[in-house]
Amino acid sequence: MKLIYTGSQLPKNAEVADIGDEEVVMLVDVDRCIRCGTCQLACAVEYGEEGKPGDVRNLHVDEEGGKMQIFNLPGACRQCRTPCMYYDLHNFWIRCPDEKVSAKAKEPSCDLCLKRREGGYWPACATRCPMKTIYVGTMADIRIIIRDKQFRDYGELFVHGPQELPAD
Amino acid sequence: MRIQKKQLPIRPFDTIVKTTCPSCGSGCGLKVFIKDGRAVEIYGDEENQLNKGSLCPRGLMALSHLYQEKRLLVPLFRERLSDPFRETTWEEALDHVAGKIQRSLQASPESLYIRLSPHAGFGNIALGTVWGNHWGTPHIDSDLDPDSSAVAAVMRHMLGVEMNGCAMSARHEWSASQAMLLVGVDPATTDPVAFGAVLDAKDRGTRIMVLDSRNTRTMRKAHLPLKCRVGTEQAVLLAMAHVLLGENLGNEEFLKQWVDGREDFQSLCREYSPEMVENLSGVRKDKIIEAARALAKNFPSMMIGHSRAGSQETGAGLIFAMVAITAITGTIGCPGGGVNLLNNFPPIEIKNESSKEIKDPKASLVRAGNGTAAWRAIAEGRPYPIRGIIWDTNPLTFCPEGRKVVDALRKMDLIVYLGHYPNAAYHHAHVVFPLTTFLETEGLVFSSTGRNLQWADRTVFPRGKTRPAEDFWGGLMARMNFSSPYPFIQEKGEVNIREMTRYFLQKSPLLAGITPDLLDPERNLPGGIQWPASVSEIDFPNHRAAVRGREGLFRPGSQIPGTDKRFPTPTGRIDLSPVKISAETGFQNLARIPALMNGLKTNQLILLTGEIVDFLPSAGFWAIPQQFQIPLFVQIHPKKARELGVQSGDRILLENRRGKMEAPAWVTDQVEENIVFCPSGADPYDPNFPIASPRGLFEFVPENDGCGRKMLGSTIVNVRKAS
Repeated sequence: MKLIYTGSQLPKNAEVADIGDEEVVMLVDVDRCIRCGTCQLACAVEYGEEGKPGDVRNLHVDEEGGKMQIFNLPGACRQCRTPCMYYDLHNFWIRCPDEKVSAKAKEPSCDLCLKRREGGYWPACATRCPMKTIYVGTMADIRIIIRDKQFRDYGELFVHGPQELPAD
Repeated sequence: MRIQKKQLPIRPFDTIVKTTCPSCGSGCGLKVFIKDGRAVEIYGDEENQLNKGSLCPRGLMALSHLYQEKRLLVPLFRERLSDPFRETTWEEALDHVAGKIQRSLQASPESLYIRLSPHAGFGNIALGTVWGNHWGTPHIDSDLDPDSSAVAAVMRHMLGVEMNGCAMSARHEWSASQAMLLVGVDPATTDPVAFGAVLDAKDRGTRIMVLDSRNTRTMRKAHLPLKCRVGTEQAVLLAMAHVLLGENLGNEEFLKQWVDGREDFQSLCREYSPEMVENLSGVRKDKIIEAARALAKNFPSMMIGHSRAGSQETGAGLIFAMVAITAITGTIGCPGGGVNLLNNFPPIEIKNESSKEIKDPKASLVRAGNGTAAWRAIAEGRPYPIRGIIWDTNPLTFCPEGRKVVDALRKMDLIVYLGHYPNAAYHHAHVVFPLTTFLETEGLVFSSTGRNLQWADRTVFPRGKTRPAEDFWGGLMARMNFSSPYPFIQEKGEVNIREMTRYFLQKSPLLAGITPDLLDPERNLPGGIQWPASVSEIDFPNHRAAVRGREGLFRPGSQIPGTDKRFPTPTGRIDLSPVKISAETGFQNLARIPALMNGLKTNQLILLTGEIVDFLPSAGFWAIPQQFQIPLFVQIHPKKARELGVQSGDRILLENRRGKMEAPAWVTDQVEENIVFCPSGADPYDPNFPIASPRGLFEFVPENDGCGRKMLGSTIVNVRKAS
């Protein structure tokens, strides 16, 4: 599972070309995220009792020095409890260091709602996002969305029809 | 396998019931999944054209409120505030309230104050107003009363139509806008789903400009952020009008045909040159000029504001400047143009069937367009004392002069609380009636950001002995023999909510074609009907969007139903003259905050309050686990925080001569250096998130300042780190 951030303020980096077409990835459009926290609540509701939210798997909580900080950006990969260092770097394509499970991890980590996916549905956070910020799918599908998002900033490309992503 | 975005749960369920979320103005359609009579999941309804499946945290947490352990489930009663509550029945409690009102307040019916909020349902406002009229008190404080808001008075004077939602574009038309200016609002925080329409427009190329005194989440999404000093929003708008008129960028055709008082307005704007306003507001003059040109050169351009004017003091004056700019650009009545006020209310007239003389109606405290006047009467007994209160949800968290008001409440003859939770209003009540949440009852929903009326269906049976607020008012009317003119009230006071809604809708010329059955998402297309809709006009003009109802008021060549004019003012034209409006509605041109700022001493900051998404007046903060509760509360600028030695999460103390408040700090650049901001709805009795309320720090706002129903203004506080 890979986590990709896109946004007009993030610098370009086409590492995404390396991801295989069949791999399931999550795309977060930072331009549309308003930090409402629905993704986190969705997770809590999905894994809680009926009408009673439970623990969250995708909440970014850092309890460094006894002070709680909440990062409200949606993110699926919570293999470790520390917020992803790739956050602050603001690279255009951010790849989550997958398969890196922290020894500190105490809670079940995110499996991208395997049960929902088996039922044919998107994960809870992506389904519930009111801003259409989060997309989940195979890389082949997500590439189309990424291209769409790029037209948002480079409108003239649209006139000439879909084009391959630039190599760099 | 291919996976799809489907608003469906994987939990087992029997049935799906469609309903509508009334929590904010977005009006999202909901799908509630029921298993064995119990709601198990809640998702957005993709078929509802207003939200297309989206749902913000408020709607998502509706189930949590429904099954919350701390909810009030039985009526409670006590003789004195010092006694403990004892459980009772609805009938007994209603008998007591009716008897007590008739015994104690018969001689002076005007000493009863009724505070009606839409969070207890449309029926609460409608029947509360009707009952109050029959009883004879003029002090009925409700959002549907057009006179209670100075903003509505400005709209009525300028455009000639009652209520403030008339100049709106419907939400599906927002994408037609080429430039948007959001003034003093933060829909990303307060109405997230409606803000989705703004972001959709932005993705299509609309220029987004945000004018606000705080660096809000909305402002971070803007192409052109205009961050001004607190209270100077109106000056910036007038400077934009100055540029528009000075550079002849206005829509001359529209101005000539439809606008009066242009010269008067121009002479007002002449004082507000971009250079002068740069000094006053801190917004660079080239940015002001750029924004003004963007509004004029992109057609249509629209403005988004708030009917209670968000977080600043200049409510009515701000709306005046907004309407004036849209009149100059000629976008009123265009799809994707006009003044779009979040949280406006539809033009439902609640007509009074009683012939009872209301004593001295001019002395009404509420109708002055000033929400604090009634609280002053409660606290100080001026101009005459208030001795009984019926309130719902939690108005106490918004009232200034906390200590004084609370002292006065102890001496009241009768306080009746209708609500869901034991909050501050509950702790000051003699009789408590437990209400149903919107999932347990049916009723009309105002989707005000979309100018739609919708219907909320009952999804589950009410918990415990909870009942809709309509039953309270119906019960009182039956006991006092007021119910005979109203066919929807049965003998013992039960109310047929559908019949009641039909009765009130038919009385309003703009809404007469709408019936509850047409709105019902279980029987008809979800998404409700856009008003205006008189009898023959319900059709589907926009097939693609499948939105029912007429497209809007003030369209070129159209007339307002019931009149023969496009703008039904006495002259048939929009009046921009500030002198007349000021005399009529009492608004000031500029707030007092810029003046306040110059006199600040060391460690003194200005405290502002506002709404946040994590809060609902009816239910308090979300009933959610500890990890979600907002650990950070009072926003303070990093520079100021460093000076005070405060970090995020540290408790800080705000105090002035009226009181003090201690709360965790949130170090953020959302606020300016000399401002602290905190949510206004805090309540020390809140069952889920008890925290000191800032209300004790505020004084009563001076009368006739045109602030509408906004009650907590701004105040100077000393700030230090709590020991």
